[in-house]
Amino acid sequence: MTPAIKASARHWVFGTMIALAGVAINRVLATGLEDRAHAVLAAAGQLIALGGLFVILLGIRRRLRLANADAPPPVSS
Amino acid sequence: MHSVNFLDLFQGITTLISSPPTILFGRLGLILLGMVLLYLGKKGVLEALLMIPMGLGMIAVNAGVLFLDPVTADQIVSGAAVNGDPVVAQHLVEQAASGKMPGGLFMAPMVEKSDNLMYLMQVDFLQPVYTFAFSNGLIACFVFMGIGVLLDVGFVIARPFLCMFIALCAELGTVVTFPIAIALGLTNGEAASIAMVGGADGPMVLFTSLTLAKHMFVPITVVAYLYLGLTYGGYPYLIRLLVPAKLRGLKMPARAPVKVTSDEKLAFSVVGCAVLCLLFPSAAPLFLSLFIGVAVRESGLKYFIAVIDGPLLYGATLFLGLLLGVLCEASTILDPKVLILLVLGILALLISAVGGLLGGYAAYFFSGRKINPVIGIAGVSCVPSTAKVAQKEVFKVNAASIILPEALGASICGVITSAIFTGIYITLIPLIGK
Repeated sequence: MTPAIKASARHWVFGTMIALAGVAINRVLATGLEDRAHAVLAAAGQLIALGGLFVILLGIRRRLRLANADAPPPVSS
Repeated sequence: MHSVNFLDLFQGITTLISSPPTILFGRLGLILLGMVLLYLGKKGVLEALLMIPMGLGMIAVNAGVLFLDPVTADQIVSGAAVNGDPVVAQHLVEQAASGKMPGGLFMAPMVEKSDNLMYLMQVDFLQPVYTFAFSNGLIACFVFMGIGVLLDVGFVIARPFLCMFIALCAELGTVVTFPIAIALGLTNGEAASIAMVGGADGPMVLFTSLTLAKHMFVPITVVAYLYLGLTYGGYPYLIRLLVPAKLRGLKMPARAPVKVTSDEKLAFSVVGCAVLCLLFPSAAPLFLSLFIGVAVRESGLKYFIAVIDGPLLYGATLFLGLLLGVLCEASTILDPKVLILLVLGILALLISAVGGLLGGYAAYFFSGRKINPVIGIAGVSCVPSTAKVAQKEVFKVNAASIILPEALGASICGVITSAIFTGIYITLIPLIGK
């Protein structure tokens, strides 16, 4: 496994876990609460879940950057 | 020998003459509008794939009105949702029984009871398509599958922050229009449905209005599709107005040669679809449709791609246009709220475009003046029209400046953010009351 893929794999695992934790907060924890607390926790859960997806995207971006370090220089557009 | 009234032979004309003045002028106006839409579609000013079937449907439904036989008329009256006004309901029953109820043999969108629907499906030729594919959102989902197959999420994955930031800014109209619509007297469901026009995705507007404001989904969806057709013609002027030529011609930084692999795109689609469906179950059909298209594309399933990209997408588009046209019957469209919808629809799209361009400017400044701000308009979604508009405007100023990959990324993100906002509205509105 190359360092680039290794780094990317970590992001995939953590990102998915964070996203699922966000879903759990939104769909499980928040439902047991009253009005205001429910709204705050539900919104927080959504943000955390979407944040998890961003962690995965960061991992892919990191892999691309590491892979690009070995690639020939880019062609100007 | 019985004497035959000459006008009874041509009931389309008889029903026109005998109808109240508002319906008479409404029908004539809609026939004319249908012709204009068809013409503009043919000339390429509006989206031909939608406007040609829609225009012809509009002409046919408003011209082909006849006096329904008492049995069919009774099926329509008794099968429709209970009318709030008992006097109106009684009048309709009497009109149906006397054989003087005007109507067409296309479909009866307001009928809900299953027995009546079964009868009408044997009489009205578009009723089966409407009942089994339109009113349940299937056509919207088919169109979304087609969009999914056409999308390359690699553009989003390559620059996720830029794309998502711009797409979120370009949802400004979706957010701002909602309170304005409430202030203008629309209900929460109607306001959310018309606000979704700011997301610039026809299937989303259709899905939201069918869920939240079924009684108004015809004018809302028609307004949405009309305006979406106009973005192609109107947005270039907005870009020229808000972005000076010097900035429009800005060249983007060189792109990395290593691309996102199809495995990564597929895996991200799987995780993204699962998380979004878990968060917004009410919009899950839309997410599934979009991501199944992406998954099919990235898995390289050629036969599926051919089916979704061809017959499914274009078949759905044909029937979407035709049904929208046929739904534009004068009695349905002539609602006082339609004028408000017309204003709010254009406002939503305008605010979203301004929001997108502001996002483009923010990206330009935060990136150290490297990102071309015109990309912002692509965040409004309407894949791929806005991305093409952005590239075309940039190309006019500087032929060497290529922004299409980033613009497509923002546009694709726009679809995802629109679906998220659909999910938010569909989840929230029933909680606060339709």
